[in-house]
Amino acid sequence: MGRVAFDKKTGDPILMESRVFNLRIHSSLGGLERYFKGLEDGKLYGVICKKCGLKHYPPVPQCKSCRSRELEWIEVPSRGRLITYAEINVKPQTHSNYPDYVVGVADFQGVKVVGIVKGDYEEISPDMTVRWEIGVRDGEEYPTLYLVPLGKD
Amino acid sequence: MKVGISSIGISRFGRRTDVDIFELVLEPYWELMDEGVISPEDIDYVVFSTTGFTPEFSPAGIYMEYMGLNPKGVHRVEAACASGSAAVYTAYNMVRSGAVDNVLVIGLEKMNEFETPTAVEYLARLGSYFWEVRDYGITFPGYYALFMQSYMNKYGATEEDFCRVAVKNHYYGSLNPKAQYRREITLETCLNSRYIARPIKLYDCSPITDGAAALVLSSEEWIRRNHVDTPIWIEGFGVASMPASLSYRSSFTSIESARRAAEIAYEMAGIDSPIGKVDVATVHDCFTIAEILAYEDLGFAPRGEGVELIREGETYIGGKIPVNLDGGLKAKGHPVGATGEAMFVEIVKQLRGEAEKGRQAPINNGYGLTHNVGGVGQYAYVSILRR
Repeated sequence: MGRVAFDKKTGDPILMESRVFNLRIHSSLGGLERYFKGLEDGKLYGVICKKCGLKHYPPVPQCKSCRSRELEWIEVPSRGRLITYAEINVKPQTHSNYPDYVVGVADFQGVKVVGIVKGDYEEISPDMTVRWEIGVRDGEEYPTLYLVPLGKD
Repeated sequence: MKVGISSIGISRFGRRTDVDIFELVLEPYWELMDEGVISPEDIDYVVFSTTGFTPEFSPAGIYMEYMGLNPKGVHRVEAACASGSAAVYTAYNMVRSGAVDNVLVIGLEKMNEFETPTAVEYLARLGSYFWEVRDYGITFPGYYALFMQSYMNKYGATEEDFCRVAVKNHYYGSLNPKAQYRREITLETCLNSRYIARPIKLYDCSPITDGAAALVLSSEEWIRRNHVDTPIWIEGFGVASMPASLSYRSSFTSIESARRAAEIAYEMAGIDSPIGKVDVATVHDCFTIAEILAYEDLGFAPRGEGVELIREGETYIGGKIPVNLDGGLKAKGHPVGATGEAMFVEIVKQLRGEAEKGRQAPINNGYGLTHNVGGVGQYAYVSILRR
């Protein structure tokens, strides 16, 4: 069951549940395995459709335009331009262990990539040149994609 | 087949720990019934919306029991923060098809039942969890902060400009007895508030809200036969979508799906230009930047000039087009799965001339508009209502 407690703000009675429900997802990867393996090897891949030439990032197992399954893995160009960014101050439960972090979107020759921007919010400005880097966030064991500012053009 | 809104009801919004979740559903339901237009026997079907801040994963069936509406049919719809409009859209098409006469649409969210970090996580997962939220921890304020940063960079708008939206919406919230925040704020209060997702500050954000709202959509024939006093007709209803992933976005200064939904709705209603035609609008101000983007996506202002409307006070009563006279999501509150219905309820009140003193728009042409966005544009609904 639970026990009767009182809401901190209103003082109204609430039932405090003692049961906890954990949600751990096991996502099947299918044709996306190469992307995640690539991250482990420090590489960042998208795909290009051999049939119609459309680029996809994040990758897809089948071309969204012509439905072809003949896709080639291509490395995302190393240099790009930061389009926009924001600092996450109030974090979701699964990221509550981190100090404030900056997320951003950068354009690598037409491929838009979302990642954690390295550096302080104040030192980041729009249109900065960035490179992508695969690193490991403090306290984690798996790779994360970073956008590293290289300064203004 | 024309479709009209024959009855409305809305709960008080806020931190509603004073009622259990079942009672919160009943609040708008009984208020709607108390209008005396519809009785439970008249309802043919129920469409229920919630994003799911409920202990049960399939709540609609359970609430039917509490409303005493068994054995009528029911299903739940979900379209993130536009779930309510998705429910209205479903009911609209059911009635328009001629299959049924009256559909009850009811939306609920009791967000305070979840602890805050869980609520922040849950809301973030209304975005693209697999590619964005899981690894980069983007929150909902975070998504809109990317748009605000981009808008400021492109058009030279300032944090102060966005705070003006908060000041307006708190002003109108103070006049709405159902609003979560019924107090005015100053520009300084907003500007001095802490960052939630920089550059978005606490006072740029809509709150975590408990609330419910309901309306009945009826066929023209039923409305005429029962001599409904002031039916409000749905003249246009536009729906559109766009990719959730930021990687597949071409702009961070517009919600393209909302622009498209508006185009469809205007065309259906025969509206060439909203300014001078639409008397009052509710727009999806989950964050202050979202209201500015709405001004432009809805054609109230040209690109980059949305901030001018709020600087000049043109979205207050007496301006070019009054927006969010119920306090908006910002001050009235944003119970995500009930927000769509709440927008329709507000426009019906406005067009009937039933809004409280000080927040009733002058109704000259009889047109009102709702603009409801789910996610960061994955879902977009724009409706045109007419008295």
